[in-house]
Amino acid sequence: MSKTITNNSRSDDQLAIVHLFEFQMDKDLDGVVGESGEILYFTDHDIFVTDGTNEYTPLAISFDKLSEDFSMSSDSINVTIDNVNGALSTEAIASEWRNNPAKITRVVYTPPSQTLDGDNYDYGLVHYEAATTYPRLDISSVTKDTYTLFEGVIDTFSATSQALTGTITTKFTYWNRPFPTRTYNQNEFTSIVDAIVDVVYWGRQETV
Amino acid sequence: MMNNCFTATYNYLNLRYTLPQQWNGWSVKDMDTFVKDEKKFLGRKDHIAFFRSFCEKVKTAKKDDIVLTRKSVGVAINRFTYWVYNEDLDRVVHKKLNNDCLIMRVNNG
Repeated sequence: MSKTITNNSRSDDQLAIVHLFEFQMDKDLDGVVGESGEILYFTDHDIFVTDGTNEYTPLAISFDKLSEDFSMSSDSINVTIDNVNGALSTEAIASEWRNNPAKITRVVYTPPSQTLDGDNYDYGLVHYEAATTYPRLDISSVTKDTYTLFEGVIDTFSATSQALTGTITTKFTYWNRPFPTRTYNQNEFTSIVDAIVDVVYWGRQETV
Repeated sequence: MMNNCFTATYNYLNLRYTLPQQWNGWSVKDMDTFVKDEKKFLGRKDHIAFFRSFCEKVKTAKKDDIVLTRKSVGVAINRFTYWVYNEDLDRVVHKKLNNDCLIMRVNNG
């Protein structure tokens, strides 16, 4: 998917960026949520974000820049969720995060003009604040560019009382190889080419 | 009509559930009086007793559960957050659920 930002969301040099995080809390790698599974939706925006279907909960969540390595290291990205509350800590500890699909999406949008309490905001507030609804940014109808920033499986995960930290690793979709994330040993192969052409399965000799 | 966190929560829930119209000598018609006597109401923990009269206490919140703290009443958005009316800002804000929150679910919900 192209990472080029189109002119759609660049009118008058006004644009805003939010990131959307999806963590599938089940075991399916095919993107289908299992019966007992659910998807946790988070955003690094300061209010709730809805795309018309899913509602993303605002959290102090951040991710490092993507690191790429030719020495057999997989492309991975670290995600940190700070300042977690009791419910999230409970979920974090009670659930198996590893090997679950995760996705980071970047949304670049142009806030439309909006009037609130008699004041006109040329580039908008987007979210609606009222006495009966919590502030929400609805991106379903705004001009925007959306692309998947990173998609993979959660490899390592740790939780403390202050923060959750996880590493999301690419799924190696084009390698067409089994990908046991926790038994992968990079010392087995001396190069990427060896790994691709070798008949050795991860961690054992192929016997079939 | 005057608003505070209790009336905002009540009005929101009243559209979705069957709530008591009166309780312990207090009636829905007395909303303005109630807002004026807010400190007395909260100080006696009447807001907790009121919701306890028709709600059950739960451990994990879901959408539209009632979130009670010592000084406020709000509505759960999901397991992690809830919204509450802020009188100073005259609008609703969202907060994170924590161990100080008492979560209740409407029995007829």
